[in-house]
Amino acid sequence: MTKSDLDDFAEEPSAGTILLKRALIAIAGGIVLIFIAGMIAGYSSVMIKRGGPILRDLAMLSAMLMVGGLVAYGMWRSWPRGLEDEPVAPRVRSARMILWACVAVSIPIGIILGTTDGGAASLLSNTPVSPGVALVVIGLWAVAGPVLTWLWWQRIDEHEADAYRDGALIAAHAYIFVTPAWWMATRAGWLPPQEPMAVLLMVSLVWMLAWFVRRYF
Amino acid sequence: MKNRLKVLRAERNWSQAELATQLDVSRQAVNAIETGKHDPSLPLAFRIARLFDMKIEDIFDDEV
Repeated sequence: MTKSDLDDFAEEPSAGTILLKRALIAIAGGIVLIFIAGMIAGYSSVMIKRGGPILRDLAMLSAMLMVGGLVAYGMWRSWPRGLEDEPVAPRVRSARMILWACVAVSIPIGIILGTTDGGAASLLSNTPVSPGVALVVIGLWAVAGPVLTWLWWQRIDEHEADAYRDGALIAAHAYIFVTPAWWMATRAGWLPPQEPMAVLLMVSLVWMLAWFVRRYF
Repeated sequence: MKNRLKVLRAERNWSQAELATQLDVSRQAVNAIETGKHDPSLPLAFRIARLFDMKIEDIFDDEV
C-alpha cells in the first residue's frame, strides 16, 4: 500500500471531538430552550391573569414555539453522529455497563441528599443529617462505590487504565499543592476554613478532565 | 514508538472499531496506538502480531 493509498483511507473522527461537540450543543441549546420555555411560561401566566388570549398573544406564543422548534431542529441537525453504529468489544461494553451502574447508584444518593434534611441547599454542606439518611448514603458510597469501581477497573482496556492512572497522579498533585496553600491562607485570614467536599470536588474534577483529555485526544 | 498498524488495517479495509473489537480494546486505544500516543503492552502487542500473522518487530519500530 502506497502513501497516497493510505491518504485516501478515510481519517476517522476523534471520539473526544464528537463528545465535546455534543456537550457544547447540549449545553448551549439546552440553555436557549430553557430560556424560551421560561418566556412561554411567563407570557402565558400574564395572559391568563389578564383574562385570556387575544390574537396578538397567540401570535407571540406561536413565534416563541417556532423559535424553540427551530433551535431543537438545529440541535438535532448539528448533533455529531458516528459513535452509535460502530462495533464494540465485549470488554468495552462491559465497562460501559458498569459506568451506567455507577450513574444508577449516584442518582439515589443525590435524590436522598437533595430531598431530605435541608434539601438541595445542604447537598454539599456540613449541616447535620439524620442517621437513617447517613446510613443509606454511606452504604451506597462506601460499599457499592468501591465494588463497582473495582469491577470497572478489571474490565477497562490498558489505554483507559493509563488515562485513569495519569488522571489520578495529576489529581493527587493538585491535592498536594492546593490543600496546604488553602490551609496557610486560612491561617493568614485570607480564605474561609477548608471545606472537605469542595476539595473533593476540585480533585475529582481535575482527575476527570485529565482522564478525558488523555483518553479522547 | 512508530508502527504500521494503520497501514495493516487499511490493507484489510478495517475500521478502527472493527480492529478494536478483534483485539478486545476500545476504538480510542487503537487510535492512540496508531497515532503513537500509546505504546501497547507486550500482551497487546502479541495479540496485534498474531492477528496480522506477523512478528512484533515487523509492526512496531522503536528506532526514531
